[in-house]
Amino acid sequence: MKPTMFTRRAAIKTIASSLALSPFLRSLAAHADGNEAALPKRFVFVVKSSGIDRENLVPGGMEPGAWKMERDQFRELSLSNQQLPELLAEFEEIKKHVTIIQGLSGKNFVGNHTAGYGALSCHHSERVAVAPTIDCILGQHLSSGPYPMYGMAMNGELLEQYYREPENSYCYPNLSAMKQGTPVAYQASPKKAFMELFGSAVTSQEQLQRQVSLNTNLMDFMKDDARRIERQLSAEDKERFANYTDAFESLRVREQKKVLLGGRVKQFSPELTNRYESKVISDRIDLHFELATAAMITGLTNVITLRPDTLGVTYTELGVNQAVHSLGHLGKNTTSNGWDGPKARREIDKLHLRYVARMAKKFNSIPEGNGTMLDNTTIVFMSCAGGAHHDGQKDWPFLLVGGMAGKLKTGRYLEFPSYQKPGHRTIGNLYLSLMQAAGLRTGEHFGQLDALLKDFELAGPLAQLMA
Amino acid sequence: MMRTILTTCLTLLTLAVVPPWLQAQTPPARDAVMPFLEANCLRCHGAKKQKGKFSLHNVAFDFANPVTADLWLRISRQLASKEMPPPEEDEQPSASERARITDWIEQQLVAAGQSKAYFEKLLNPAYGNYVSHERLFSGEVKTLPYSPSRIWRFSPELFKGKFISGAQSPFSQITSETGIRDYSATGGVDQSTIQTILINTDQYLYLRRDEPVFQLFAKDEPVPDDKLAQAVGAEFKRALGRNPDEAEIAKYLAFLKKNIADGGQLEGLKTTIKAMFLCSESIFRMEFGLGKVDEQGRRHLSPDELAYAVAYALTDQRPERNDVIRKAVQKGKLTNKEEVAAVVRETLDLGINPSKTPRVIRFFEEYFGYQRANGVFKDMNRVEAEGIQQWNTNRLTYEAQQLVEYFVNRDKDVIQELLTSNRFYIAHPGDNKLAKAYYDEAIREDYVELKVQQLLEQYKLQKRDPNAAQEREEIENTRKQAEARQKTVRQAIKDGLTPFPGWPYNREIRGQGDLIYIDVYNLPATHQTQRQQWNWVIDQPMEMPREQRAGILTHPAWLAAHSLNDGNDPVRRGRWVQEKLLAGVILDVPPDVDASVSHDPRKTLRERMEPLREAQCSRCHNKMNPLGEPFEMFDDWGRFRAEFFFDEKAEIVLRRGPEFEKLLAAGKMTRRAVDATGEIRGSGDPTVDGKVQNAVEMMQRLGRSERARQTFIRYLFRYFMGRNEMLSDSQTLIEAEKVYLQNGGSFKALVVSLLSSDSFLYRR
Repeated sequence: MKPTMFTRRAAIKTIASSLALSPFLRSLAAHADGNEAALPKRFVFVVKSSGIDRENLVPGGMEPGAWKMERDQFRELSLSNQQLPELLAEFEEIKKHVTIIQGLSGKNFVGNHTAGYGALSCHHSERVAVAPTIDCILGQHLSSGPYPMYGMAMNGELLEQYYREPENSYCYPNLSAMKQGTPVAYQASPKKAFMELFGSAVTSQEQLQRQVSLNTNLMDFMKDDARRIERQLSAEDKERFANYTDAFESLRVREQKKVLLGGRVKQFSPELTNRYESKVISDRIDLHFELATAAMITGLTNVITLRPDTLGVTYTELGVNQAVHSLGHLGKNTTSNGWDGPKARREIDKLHLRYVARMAKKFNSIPEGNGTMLDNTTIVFMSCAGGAHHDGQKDWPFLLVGGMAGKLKTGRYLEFPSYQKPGHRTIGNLYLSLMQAAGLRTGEHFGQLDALLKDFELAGPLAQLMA
Repeated sequence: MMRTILTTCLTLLTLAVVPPWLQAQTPPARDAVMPFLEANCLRCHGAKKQKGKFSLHNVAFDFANPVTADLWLRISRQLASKEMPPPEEDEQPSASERARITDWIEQQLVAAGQSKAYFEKLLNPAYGNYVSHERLFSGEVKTLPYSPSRIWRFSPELFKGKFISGAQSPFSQITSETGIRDYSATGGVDQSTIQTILINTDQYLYLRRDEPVFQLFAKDEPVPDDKLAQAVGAEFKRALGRNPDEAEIAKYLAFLKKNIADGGQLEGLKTTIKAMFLCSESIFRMEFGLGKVDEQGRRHLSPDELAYAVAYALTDQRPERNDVIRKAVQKGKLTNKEEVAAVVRETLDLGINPSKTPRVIRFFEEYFGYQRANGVFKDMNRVEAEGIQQWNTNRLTYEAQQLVEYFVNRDKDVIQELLTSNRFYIAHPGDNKLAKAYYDEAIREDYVELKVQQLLEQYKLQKRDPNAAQEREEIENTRKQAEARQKTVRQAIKDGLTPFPGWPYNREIRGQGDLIYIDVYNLPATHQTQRQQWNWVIDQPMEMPREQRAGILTHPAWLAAHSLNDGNDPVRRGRWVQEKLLAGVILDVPPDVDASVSHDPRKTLRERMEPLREAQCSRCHNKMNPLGEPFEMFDDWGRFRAEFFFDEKAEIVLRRGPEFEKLLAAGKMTRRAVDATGEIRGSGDPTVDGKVQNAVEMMQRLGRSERARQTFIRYLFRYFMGRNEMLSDSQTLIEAEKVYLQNGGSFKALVVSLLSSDSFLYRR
């Protein structure tokens, strides 16, 4: 049976009209109106490897040996009268924006040391993108800049397995997917990320012109090439083929959007120094955060996901000579600088959190609406695996920094009852909260449900997090 | 070298969108269908009675109205899927009567431009069975077969074969992973595809930055014209796998020159190369039918098109990389049915296996779906508690594949053997000579010395110093391992068993060191250092108990692939049998279904599913559960079981660990025999239909049936043609079955027949 003839959709036409309302204009307009709800909403996901040790995220005010594996009750603390855990010392001055969430599970999203795509999509699929991930869903909804979502990583599943030059290429860290079968590539090179995002700020007018010309040549050539084939196609093939030709058009639109942002790109671009050539891990993390912060302020995208390390990374600059994976197995043994396993892991978390804090403070210094940019931005610090180094996903810690225009309660410590106890909640519930706070309409659940939790009420967002 | 498809000048006829059998004159609406409705429907859905609050006596005929169109579509689906009139009614309309009405309805829908989503859906692999099986094989359809002229996006597997290894594939399948995946109509290309190709190409160019051509273009002095043309030719060959013709050289040369003028020499060259990777020929296979046109307006594929079509049907490589196809093209011997048949036959005769004909092997993965066992999550706590020493799905799926390779290369009654044989491969390299060689080596008195000697010889070849620290350690380890193996082997011989020799991993075979994973076959699992308990078999496939196993569907790999995290999945299994052996149709799940099964620990799964036989669930579930429940004779690890056990609280105990044994020994458990009964319905053969005691009986009957054979052929057809069958493919399918039977159940003959059929050779 063959289908009847269909007319071709012209989906991308709408993109052109939305161009007029680029994000910064919208932000300015909202500001003028005093309309807080219309301010842009932003998310940064920081997804480290190897888990986060839970006891490091319990505030000092709680009793000693505070972290309990078995918990019957939901517990909530205001952070205002608590001392933040040592790990979060850098957040003291902005602690009213900090939310610690403990005790969520994602037990059915398993993999080898990582839940992979499952960490953000809530599916049991480490290596294959079977469903859209939370960062991409938010990005597609919130971003009106050139990039729906942008990712930067130390390395990942490399593009080219025989030439290991992670600092020089795109990679697939198996974290983000726009939709089924559409994994997102992350830029691993700070230099290349800079050129992509802020290239126009350091490129001469002449060079810029050349790039634009070559790009235009390529897109024109492709469209012309496609036209020759198009004439030979049946009606339904024409329909499918149109998606191919439209893709060139949308890429052109993306470049055009960047041109429209040219002034802001120049204004907010970080300075391109020779540090951008550095191969030192912490330098590259530093630069990824610097680029992410600037890209958000510029309006190049509203969602960024950062992958500060993977199991293979060795932080020699911290004085350790073992990779993240080995540190996870170190236990009471010590590494080259005398740190034992927990200490080394804590120091790595601290290193990441230093940059998270710097980013949050930067956002907090930029007025927006009646508050600051941080009030409309949520930074989610988490690992691609719950709890400690590969110990299952029953207790998956999260740190949220920032707000969502007052839609999320902040300045709190939330601890959920343990797995299979009444009141227990999953990371899917957290993601629903983030989506709803950002103004997305959601269903009752996100991703796959845990069969072993089928007798528990698990619909909807985390009520305790919603304002 | 092959000429390009693209440059050949052609004019295509505008396609007739409505297939020929739907182009008949339509009689006035009422006269066409009312007598049928009166005879078959109105008794329950008429003026007097409106079962399910549904009546047809006043049915509207304004097909332009979407509500009316939707109603008729539902009528058509109910008739075609045989859900109405209810199967329990004695009086049923004949297949051709049903077909006359459903054809008529679909004609009206097409004419009125309605139900587009439905017709689009029919192009998807999941809806292949919507074409009436009875009519396909009735012989009444005399239309000459063809495939629609088409483009077909490359599959991820083909991408692997043609780009830098390790690169992310820009292509992915969106079709369900539980069936045939690569369809021409479902392969999508969008912005993400293009972006991935651009990322790949950037990296590709970066890695080649030191090559002479890039050095040359990086210089300030202008590259002379002849070198420009040379670069275009060479890069084109690298990107597209073939030499460009003159027109193409001219086109890309002009493009290169423009790019150089606009963006400089090096960047200009890079942009030109990007275009080669992005062009439609790098993304789509094209099958327009550039050969002769016959009297019916069908266009034969040209020799070039055939070379690609045959290569991509059997392998994941371009035709130039296949000796048989390349030679045939060079000799001009790929022009007609007989020549295509000869090429296919020659390729298959070289052996059907993952390295020579990977795509043929993949058919069985997609059809049976045993490969999915690797993706079904099993809680590790359960593995231990239920007495599975090692849950090794990689090994199990490999052993299912070994069985497939064995039967297709033996090439006798292949379909029946795959569905009914009780012969399995277990812990075997797949080659009996090889198995014997490993065995002979393992029982040698000087086995330990032999292993050490082999290692020393290897060092000699590699010019490594056996006295260096690392090498000494390796030698010591090898000796220890060999001694351990020898100890186990000697003990096994003493115990009167055939010792398991173990073997290393190499290109032909998977390595296997121990028998730790064989619980799932109801065999005693042992680690390499433990005393062997199973009497290993050198000559395999070996016989399994006839009352326990019958074909791939009773293989642990298939059973695990069609199970849930924590138990069996009779619904999915039943659906598999209904769709893939009975060519049945399960309509889409209605949106208001509350799909839940009670969680009563005192009941077996089968008992908990009892409500599905009632009320609104039954119409679909009666087509699945009776075909899936016979597999309750196995647990979800694939082990045969005869009894269920209940503890003192009358709750079911699935655990088999020490705790279980203790309770059992203390007589604290009650037993109940497993109820694995079921029923085959709708096979079209009264000797096949009827109640069955369990899955083995079901497979023994169904696996030999005409319906299962024909259904298998339909799926194979879909796999090779990359589309669902149309009624016009009837002659192809009938001929394929005939050839298969005439050749003693030869799979190879079947493949040759399909790949040299009109459906494969002609486009229109």
